[in-house]
Amino acid sequence: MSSPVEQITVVSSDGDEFKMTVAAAMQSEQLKQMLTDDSISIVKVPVENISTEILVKVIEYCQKHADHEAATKANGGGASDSEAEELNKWDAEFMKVDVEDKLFHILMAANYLEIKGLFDLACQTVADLIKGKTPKQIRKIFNLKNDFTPEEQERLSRQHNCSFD
Amino acid sequence: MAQNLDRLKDVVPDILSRLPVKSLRRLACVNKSWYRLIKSPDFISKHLHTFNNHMKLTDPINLLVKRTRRATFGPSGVDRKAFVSLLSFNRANSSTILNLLDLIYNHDEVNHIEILGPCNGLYCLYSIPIMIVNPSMREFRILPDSPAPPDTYSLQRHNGFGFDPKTNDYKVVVIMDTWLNETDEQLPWRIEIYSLNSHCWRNVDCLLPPVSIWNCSWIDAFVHGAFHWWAYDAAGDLVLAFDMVNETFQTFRVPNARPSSREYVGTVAKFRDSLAVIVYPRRGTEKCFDLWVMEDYGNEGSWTKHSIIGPIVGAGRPLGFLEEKNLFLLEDNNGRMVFYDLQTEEIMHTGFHGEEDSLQAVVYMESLISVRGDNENPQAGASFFGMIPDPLFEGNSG
Repeated sequence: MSSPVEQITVVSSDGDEFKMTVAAAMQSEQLKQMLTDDSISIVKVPVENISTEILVKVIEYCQKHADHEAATKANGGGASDSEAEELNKWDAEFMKVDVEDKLFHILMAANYLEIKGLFDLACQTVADLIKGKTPKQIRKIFNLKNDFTPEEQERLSRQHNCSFD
Repeated sequence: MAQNLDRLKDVVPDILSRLPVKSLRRLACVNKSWYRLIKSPDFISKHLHTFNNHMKLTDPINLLVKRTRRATFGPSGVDRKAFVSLLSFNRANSSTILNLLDLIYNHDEVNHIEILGPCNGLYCLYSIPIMIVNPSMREFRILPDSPAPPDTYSLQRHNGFGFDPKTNDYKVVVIMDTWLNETDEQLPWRIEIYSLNSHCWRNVDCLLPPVSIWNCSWIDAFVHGAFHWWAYDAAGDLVLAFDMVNETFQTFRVPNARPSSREYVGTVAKFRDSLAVIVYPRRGTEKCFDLWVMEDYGNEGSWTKHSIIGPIVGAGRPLGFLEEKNLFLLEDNNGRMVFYDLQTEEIMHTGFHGEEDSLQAVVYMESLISVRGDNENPQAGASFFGMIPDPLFEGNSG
């Protein structure tokens, strides 16, 4: 790749434009493919199903992790335990969002843009969120219907020792 | 609900594969789609891999451990009792322990038990009776005793446990010597296999190679689809391998790993999905453990001395590796379990102990694999399926 591109522009579904450093963009497999493909000259990349609010968060994650990678490389290889722990703490704070929906949208954005670290982090966060919840609460979160018949429910309750509530 | 949450469906398997079995059993009741997902072989496989491999350094160390302890139990005054427990140990040096056998049956009479596995989250507990257990599903299956021809007796038994991907079956293999009651004449060694799918034992018509198996195996070595034992013949040390798919034996000569067979002990082990051998001195207040690895499985010329672990002060015998945490597990000279960090060389005392040379420790894995097997066999006689009552692993990773 010989092009001296240092930044790319991504456009949210709301039409807002944001600049991303190449290093940050490389955190996304999708964007990375585009950047390393010489046959594509990038001007603006539309990300149709990601709103401004979510895109801002995603870019923040990518930049932080790109910075961390660069710092690690500069130090000659492996991150120390304390540096890794610091990044983990940052990740934990980052995932503290006020509304559950936001969490899901970040997860889907990470899936769409193929940002592995963010995808794993978001999956884990959602998993932790639903771990202790009842089936009823889960249905509400994921907007699902209970389509078991009463007989099926009875049989399953016995097998799995759980309630359907 | 905001729009576009439809596509959340696509990532539900990725989310659910990070949950412990206890949660998933509850979530199977959400709706039919989730029920089918959680029961599907693809998801079970995904969960097995994802849940057990996403560990952070800060997560607790979860092990299935075995030990014997001296005390007086029961009316017969048995003075040694074997325990199998789930041990959860975190860096704050606190641990919680749950005696698994206590939840299954009264094991006052059990003074010896061997843990084999895990194999995709299933463990074989070899004692009287023999059991296959999935602790995370709270299920166990008690096996009938391995059959013996009439009027014979056995002195030695060597066990193995593994998975046959061709038939999707879990197998327990037992190698036994056979002697006639009347004349004490020795008959050929017998090889018996129990198949979880067919719920029964069958004799394997294959000859044991002319080797002697050491009567001590405490580190599981099921790797490359075969179970391995440390053995020897007149020409020296070797590894005996039993292929779980083809049900045949193979032997691998081991290079001069032991400087002297009197002063040094050898044992098979598993290291990074390769067959390994650990050699260490029998005695000493400070020991080094030589780790040999068969880099190219099946190729006797590929044995390589991978590393020397230690020296470790007060070390007794090795218990295996916990690779997710880069740890070498061992028993010290006083029967206590110790962790040795392969990277930092730091030693962690767990405070867990048993009688000397009685410990076994294997990684605790969660898995959705049921030990009910593929079909219920009404002739299964003495084998039955049971559930370990709650609670199990409250908190921690559960």
